[in-house]
Amino acid sequence: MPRVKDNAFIINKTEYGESDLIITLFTAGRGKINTIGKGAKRSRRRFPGSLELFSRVAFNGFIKHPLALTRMDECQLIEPFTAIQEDLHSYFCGCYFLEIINRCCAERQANKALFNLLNDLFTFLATVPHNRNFNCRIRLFELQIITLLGFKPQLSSCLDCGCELDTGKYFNFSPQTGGLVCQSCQPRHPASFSVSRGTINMLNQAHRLDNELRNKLNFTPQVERESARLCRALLRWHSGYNFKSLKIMERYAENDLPVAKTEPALAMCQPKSYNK
Amino acid sequence: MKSYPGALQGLVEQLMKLPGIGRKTAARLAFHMVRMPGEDAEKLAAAIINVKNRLALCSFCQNLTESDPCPLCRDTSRDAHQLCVVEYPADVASIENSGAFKGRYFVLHGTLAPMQGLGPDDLRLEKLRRIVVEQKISEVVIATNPTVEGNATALFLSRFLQPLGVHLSRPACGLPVGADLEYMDPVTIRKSLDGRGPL
Ligand SMILES: [Zn+2]
Ligand SMILES: [Zn+2]
Repeated sequence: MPRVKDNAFIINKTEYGESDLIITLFTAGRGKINTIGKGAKRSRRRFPGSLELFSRVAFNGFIKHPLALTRMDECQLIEPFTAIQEDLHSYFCGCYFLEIINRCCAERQANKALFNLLNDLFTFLATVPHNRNFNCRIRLFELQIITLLGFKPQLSSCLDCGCELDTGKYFNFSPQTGGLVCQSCQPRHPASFSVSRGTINMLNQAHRLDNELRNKLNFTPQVERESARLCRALLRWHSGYNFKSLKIMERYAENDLPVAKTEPALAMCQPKSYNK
Repeated sequence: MKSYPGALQGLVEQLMKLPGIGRKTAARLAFHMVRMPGEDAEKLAAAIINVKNRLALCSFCQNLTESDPCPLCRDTSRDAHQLCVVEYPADVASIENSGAFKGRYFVLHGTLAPMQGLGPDDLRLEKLRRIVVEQKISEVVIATNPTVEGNATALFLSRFLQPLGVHLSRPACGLPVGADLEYMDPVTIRKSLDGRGPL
């Protein structure tokens, strides 16, 4: 059975027993694979600081059986993207994308374009201070990932009856059909919600943008809100999963993280025996 | 799947809930327990019940303790104005073993790990804030692990505690004792050089 040598991103890590780690990788050549690093919690020689989330690594492993965990023998750090953890908004967004990859990618399905996109995404997240259009870029990455996962929304005609949709200010988006439905079909799609023409136009164009345009683009608050809702509804529908990191990312944008209030609390909850 | 007598099957199922224990290991442990002298089995069962009944969280440092406040918090010879924040109770034990820190502790019981659903609300922030304010802490050492999650948590805590005007510090990151530079990763080498000290 084959030896594997590939470049990969560390997308998840769980402890297993005393000293082993289960490490989920997104590789350039084989897509997502789950690996087991025997003694990985302790061996700094075989895994020198290379098993941290977001890191791009060169790994060396062994596939014993097609259904079994790949054994990870060695892992060398190529790029740690350290700056992601130095900005909490980047970190929360990064974790959300890691969770999407963890939940929505099937194992051992090569997706080189997605591997390259992760590289662009982590490079972007590690670029601090943030660009003015940070949130817009995040929305665009979300859309690109959805497309590369094969969930690209169909935004031209009604997916139910096939009629052309070219009038009106608002459209109905139905997550379970993966696209738009017309006004008369809408009652058959109770989970559908309305999305403005501006957002649909933007999403239709987004696939054709080059990198220079992506850097300059900025969404209106409405387009940003609606495209986020649309992407998340699609992901939720396809994965059947509520992303844990999504709530945290949405709640704690960079500026409203909690800070300690300076006045002491009114009620003392501590035993009196301290400081005696 | 072969089935065991009800009582044995029940034990196997309970053991399988332990981390890193699959069906085979659980069955092996269960058969071992069947062969144990009755006295030993009772001691094991009692030890598990004791841990559940007697251990609680210290209302000051949040560490596991049999008495509240815990012995470390009661110890008046310790520096009451230094506070070391760690991820888990095991970290308190490691730092205590080193003998290098003589202040008080605070255990977060986790890190900011969004993929596990752990955010700022899960870190006992209000308890930490009260201790810093009410105990007039002058220095908080944020000793979360130097992992991605630990570093993000340290950054978050430093922002959180900043308005309290307390001195914030983080243990140095660098070459482990007995290390071989040849096998060190670039991040560790860079951090160790950034934090180099005079000879
Ligand atoms: Zn229709
Ligand atoms: Zn205590």
